[in-house]
Parts: sequence; structure tokens; C-alpha cells
Amino acid sequence: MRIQGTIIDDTFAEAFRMWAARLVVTAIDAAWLETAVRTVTGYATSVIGCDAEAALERMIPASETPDGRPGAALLFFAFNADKLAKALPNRVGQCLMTCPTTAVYDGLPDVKVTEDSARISVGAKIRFFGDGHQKSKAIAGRRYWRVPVMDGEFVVEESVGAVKAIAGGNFLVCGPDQATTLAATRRAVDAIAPLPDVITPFPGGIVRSGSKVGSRYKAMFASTNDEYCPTLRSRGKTKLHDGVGCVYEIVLNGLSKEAIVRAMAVGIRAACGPGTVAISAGNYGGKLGKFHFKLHEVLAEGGA
Amino acid sequence: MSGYTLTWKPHGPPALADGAALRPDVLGALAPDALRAVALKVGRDSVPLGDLFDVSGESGPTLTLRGVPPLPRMGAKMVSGELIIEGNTGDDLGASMRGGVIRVRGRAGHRVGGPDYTSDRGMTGGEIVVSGDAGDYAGLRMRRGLIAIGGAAARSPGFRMLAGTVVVARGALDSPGLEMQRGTVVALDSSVTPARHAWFQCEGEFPLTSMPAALLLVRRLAELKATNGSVAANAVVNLSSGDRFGLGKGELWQIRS
Repeated sequence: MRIQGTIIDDTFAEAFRMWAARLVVTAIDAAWLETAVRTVTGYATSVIGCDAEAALERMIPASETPDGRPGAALLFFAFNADKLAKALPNRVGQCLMTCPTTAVYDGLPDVKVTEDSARISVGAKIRFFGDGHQKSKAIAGRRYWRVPVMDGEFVVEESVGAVKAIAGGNFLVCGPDQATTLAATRRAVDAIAPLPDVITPFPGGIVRSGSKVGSRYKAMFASTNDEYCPTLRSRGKTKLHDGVGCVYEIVLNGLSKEAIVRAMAVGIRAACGPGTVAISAGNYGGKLGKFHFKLHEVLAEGGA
Repeated sequence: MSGYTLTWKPHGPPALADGAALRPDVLGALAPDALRAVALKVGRDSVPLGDLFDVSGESGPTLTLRGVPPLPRMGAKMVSGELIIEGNTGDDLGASMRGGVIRVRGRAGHRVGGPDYTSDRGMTGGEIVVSGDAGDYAGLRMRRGLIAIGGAAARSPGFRMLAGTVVVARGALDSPGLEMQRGTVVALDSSVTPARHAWFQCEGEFPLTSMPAALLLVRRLAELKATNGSVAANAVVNLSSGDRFGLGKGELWQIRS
């Protein structure tokens, strides 16, 4: 299969189950909002080494946020609800409560406690920073904590909804050199950015150090994806097409299978074209996850 | 919004009728015949609802009352649904209610959202929106929820309140929040100079945009169409804490545009 001359490998991306929560963060202006977003989604690329994977889902105009100020929707992913329940209060407490003018709201307010969903205490834990001066306010069936801070009040919703989600959807953009491949991958990231229910948690949405499961070293449970490293082309089994000197990966975490399929299709089509030799995907022989996104099927289903 | 409409028949003994049975969560689930047979207390007697009201509409979560005299205890203890009262109400509107919305297109009597006769707590949830004035002690002993009064309130709105929010859109507040424990009494009338209440400590004046909780409240009031005017983006909140003779965790907000 080819799109605009780019080879689409007959392979699949292998993704796995994670839990996700959506926070809506507001601030007094766009500048402080951006600071808050950057801070709270920092060091949140991969659960290989981070407590959560997180990124901006979309910016929200002031007219659509709970308090009428500029806002952003952020998605956070962790292996299970317990890990999310640890990561979120830490990140909100250290990165958002400390950031001037912010407030934090639940982006999945309709989520109830079921087998496939949970409520994660956030404000209910952070409120103790108020040292007895904290106050709660229930408005329209939602409960918020008001923690006095030195610029006024930090408002944070008592709990946020968390749902079963999917992480690790991916595709690889294979090109002749860094500049050409990076440009194609950026096109894909930019095309994915407006889509709802999905994030690309790595730096700028792009991974250069794609990984495989396992290592020759006992302490490591992931190591470099040597089959796609151009400098190892001659040393073992390579999966690189002729003429490929650089590979970048886009990893996608989404609230649903449909969200990932849509994002993969949009991203792959954007990355294809002159200079992009091939599109492939990372899979680990079924060892990593139960969700398999076959590239050819994704492109047929995902439209765009 | 589906539900029944009850139109008061122009006769009967209104002064002695008890409005406590007029709850959307209870009446809205009944078939029309069963609804007409519901017993309303009138003094020491019980009268079928169908003798006092013409019934129209169908079962559903909304109950609309038309032409009804200002009966006491309308919406008492309701837990869900929407009660729309086209006219004035008597005392103890929404007494000890736990959820749902009451909308009054007129005036309300004393103790809006206060405790029912058998309880020491006022409303513990839900929202009451009154388009006109309200009587004394709106929010008496309320524990949670929102009372929004589009007109003025008489003596001490938020009197002895435990928590929750009482909003008064017009006029100065007369001794607000006396003996309140927690909760917020909000005045929206910009034409009134912020009062200095001896039993409250003024904390200062803050831009509305720096108080997200106030922004959330303002937005909710707009969604409920609870006040006639909108609050300007550059409004400020004059904040006082008290009652200092009580727990001291209550608040008075005067939001001024």
C-alpha cells in the first residue's frame, strides 16, 4: 500500500490498557495558562519512567470553561486507577496550586464509580494544605475546595472522573534524514493536535528513542528499538527500507479505540508525501498489549 | 420538560391548605387519576388534590403550579425534579429539600430553604430561584444548596446557616448571616455601599477574576437565569468573614460591578 508514494507497511501498532483522567485548568490569562500546562505535563512522557503520561488535549475558550477564564483540557494516563490517584494530587499540588491564578476542574464530570471507571480524589486531598482555613463550595452538584493561597484562592474540584483508556497507539515515520523526517512528523503532530480525546505525550509529540520490550540488562524492562536504528542497520535484523536514515515515532494515548484510530489515520496521511519513505508501526509480537491497530485497516476506517 | 401542570380552581380554603405534598419527585411519577386522588391537608382535614386543582399534562420531572395562592411548605423535602410556581409562595418554601430545583415567578415568604417542622436542618441540596422578594431568614439552618433571590430579602438572610449559598440580587442586606457557621451570603446590588457588619471581619476587596469560586457562582446564576442583570467582568468582591461570635467560617460577598 502506498499513499503519495510513501510505503505503508503491512504491520500493526500494539497498544495497551491504561486509565485516564481529564483535567480542565484555567488561569487569568493565556500566558499563565501556558505556564501551568507546561509545568503540570512536564516529565510525563512514558510510564516506563514517569508516574503518568500527560499532555495538552486542547485549549478551551473562556466562554466554554467553568469559570469563564481561558482554559486547557489535559489528559493524564497511568497504569491503573490507584497510580492515577497518586500522580494527580501530586502533580496538581506541586505544579498547579503553586502556579499563579490557576483553578482545576474535572473534565469528565459525568463519570461515576463502576467496574470501568472511578472517581479520583484530588481537591479532597489537596485541601489539607489549607491548614483548617480551606472551605468547600458545592455548585450545580459539583463540589470544589477553596484553598487560601497568597494570591487569593486556589479552587480545585473535589474529585475527577477516571476511565479505562488506551495508551501506546503509534506509528513510525521513516525518512532519508533528520530534517526531512522531522518535517513530515511535525506535519502529523500538527494534524493530530486538534483532535479530541487523544494526546501525543512525548516532547513536541515525537519520540526519537522508540523502545522494545526487554533488554539484555536485568534492571531494564525496555530498551532501544534496534530494528529501527539506522546506525545499527548492518548489525542485526533491521526493518528499515532502503534509503531510510532517520525514524521518528508518534505515540498516541486516547480515551477510546476510535479516538486512536482517527488520530493515526489523520497523522499518517499528513506525514506521507515526497521525502517520506515509509510509515511503519511499533509492535512487540503481542507481548505488550491487547490492542492491535493494523495500519491498512486504520487508514480504511479512520477516514481523513 | 414533561410533567403535570396544576391550575388552582377558584374556590376552596387556600389559607389552610398545606403545600408540602406539592413535590415533583412524588407527583410526577403518578398516573393522572392517582394524582387527582392525592390527599392534601387542609386544616385538620384531607382533600383530594383534584378538588383543588385542574390537572393537565403528563407524568414527568417538572411540576408547574398556576394561580395557586401562597401556600406554606411548597416543595418541602423534595429530592429531585423541577417545581415551577407561577405566583407567590407562602412560608417555608423548599423546607428541608434535598435536591432538584424550585423556581418561583413571584415573591416568597419567610424561611426559604429552612428546616421543615420535624427537622433542625434546612435544605441539604438543590436550588431555589425566586424572581421577586423573599421574607425573613432565607436559608435558615440550610446545610447545602443554593438560594437565589432576584429581589430583596427581609431580615437576616443566611440566619444560622450551616453551609450553602444565599444570593440576594437587590437592596442592602439586613443583618445577614447572623450566627452562621459556614456558607456564603452574597449581595449583588452594586448601588449599595458595602455594609460594615459588627459581627463580621472585612477581609478586603478582590477582583472577581481572582476568585474562581465567585466566577463559578456567577456562571451558575446565569445558567439558572436567577438574576436580571449580568455581572461585569471587572467586578470586585468585597469579602467579609464571620459570624465571629460563632464558628467564624461564614462569608459575606458583595459583588460590585
